[in-house]
Amino acid sequence: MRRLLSIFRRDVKSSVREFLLLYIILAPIVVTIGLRFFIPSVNAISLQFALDKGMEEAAVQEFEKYGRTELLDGRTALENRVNKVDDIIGVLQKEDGGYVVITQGNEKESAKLMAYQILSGMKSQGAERAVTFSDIGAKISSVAVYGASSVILMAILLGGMVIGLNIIEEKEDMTISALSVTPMRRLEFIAGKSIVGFVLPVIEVLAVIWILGLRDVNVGMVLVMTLSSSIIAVIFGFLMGVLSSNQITGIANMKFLLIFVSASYIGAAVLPADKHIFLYWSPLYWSSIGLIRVIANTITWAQIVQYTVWIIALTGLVFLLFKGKIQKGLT
Amino acid sequence: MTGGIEMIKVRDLYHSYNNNEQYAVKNVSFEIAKGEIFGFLGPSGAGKSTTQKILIGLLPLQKGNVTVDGADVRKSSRELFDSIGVSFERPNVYKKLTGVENLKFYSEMFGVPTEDPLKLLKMVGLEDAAHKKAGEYSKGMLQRLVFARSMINNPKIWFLDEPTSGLDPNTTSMIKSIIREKQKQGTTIFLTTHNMHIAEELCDRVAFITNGEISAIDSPRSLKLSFGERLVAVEYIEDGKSKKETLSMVDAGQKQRLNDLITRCKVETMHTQEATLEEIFIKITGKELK
Repeated sequence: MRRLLSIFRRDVKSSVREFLLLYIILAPIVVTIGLRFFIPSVNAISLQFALDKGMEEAAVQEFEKYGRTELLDGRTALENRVNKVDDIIGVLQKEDGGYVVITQGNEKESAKLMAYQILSGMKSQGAERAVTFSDIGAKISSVAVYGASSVILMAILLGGMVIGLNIIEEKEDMTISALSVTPMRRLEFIAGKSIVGFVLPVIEVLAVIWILGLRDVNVGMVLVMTLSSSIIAVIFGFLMGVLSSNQITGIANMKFLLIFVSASYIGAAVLPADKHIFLYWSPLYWSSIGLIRVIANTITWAQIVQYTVWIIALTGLVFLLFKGKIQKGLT
Repeated sequence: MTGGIEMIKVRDLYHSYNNNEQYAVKNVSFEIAKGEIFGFLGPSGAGKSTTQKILIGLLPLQKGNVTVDGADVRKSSRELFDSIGVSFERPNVYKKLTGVENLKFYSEMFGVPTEDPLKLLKMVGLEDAAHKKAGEYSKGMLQRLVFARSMINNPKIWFLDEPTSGLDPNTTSMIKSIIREKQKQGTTIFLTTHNMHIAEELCDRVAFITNGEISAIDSPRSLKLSFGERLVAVEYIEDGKSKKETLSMVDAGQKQRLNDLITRCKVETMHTQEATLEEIFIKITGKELK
């Protein structure tokens, strides 16, 4: 254990003394701080209304005065649109002529009031109608859900990158051969190098939650998803380390990995549920979907366990595939 | 061999990098006694580093038998490294860590009591640079840091690969003193070098290796006696002119010539000249040390 901690301490010390690694470590925090300021401004940029096609022409024209409008067919289409990432207020005209304002539930109060005021303005112009509100049930901004989950995924993967770059440093300085003539075992080296890939994301994830003020998020669930997802990052970190002869090659290899990360995350966030099956092969898909749902508070512990099993099993397969390469690269 | 406990024993060692009949090391056998300084001498690519790498476990043992501190290297546990120190030729240290941090980190890998890093840095004259990042060290300073690191666990068996390479004469002298002092303390030293002067000064025995094969093993003195030719360089005045001759002290005719010169001419200087280890190496192996 002493050797493991020594290797971890050395990696941290060495990482904070290298500009590139320090930037990698701090990037998720910097992005989160940016996101913290960005979230309210995104919601406040402009008003968007999804209107039912069956609405009176006058009402549609009235809404067009205050913001961008989209005409959709029926309540289901309106609810689906309101459920998307951006903030948009749905308005439906009932058969009795009254209006229903459809919201996700996480919009700014002022946005909801604006819809009410527009409809009230129409009332004062003589078109008196009853207005009711319908809340779909979301408790957190979509921007916060996708922003936080993507930053967390980034923190996890950058933890792996720190491992990779530290291994590249060992290779470039040929310090592995110096360690090979000590009683340190290869497994201790691998375990010691891996610690940073778990500790760094955990610290950063807690910081992300705190900075974004995500008080309703289940921290235990986030940490389980973070730790299980870190296994993927650690394996990729080792692969990046053994396959790359220098930092530049390392970063190039990491960019290649980011294609899979982006595909998995965007797929999990954007694709309709029935198409997700095409992403089941990717452990990063399970991380993405898990993190998104944990932040959105729409996941159970049973699902967390299910996702974790998928992640571990798929990462295990990746590890078995590259085990020989990793072992050979560390000698 | 000088006698006593065998700390390293190598028998019929072969190694091929391509796993074929092209051997980088072939039929190498030797043993090193406790407290002995054994020099492994040869030009670049002769098989010195391959042999050393097998002894310290950086290369697998393919063919032959090797025991280090009584343990078969094929079956030895990692704990064997608690009693081994290795000074690499290339300065393989962490450039972002300071000198003292490098030694402290390395010391934490061992399961035995280790030396104080600052004490070791002082021994090699790096006390002023102890808290400087190794990346800012000169080549010679890095070499000394690697040398100091190899002593951190007080090794019983010490592998030194070109320990004075790139060092100035003062530092070389300091390193030689440390090696002698360690020998006095009972450390067994395996010195790999192509520097014959260092080998001649430090080694109890040397092995000449070329093309992966050992061509001679003995003490530097015995090798000189066996293969060297004792010569005398004489500067004298004859017929008003200054002349110089180098004469053999073995050949009867040249011995007579020396006597003549001493009787007839005014001898200005006369120095005995022994063959150097380098000359003997060339004589035995037919190759120069580069």
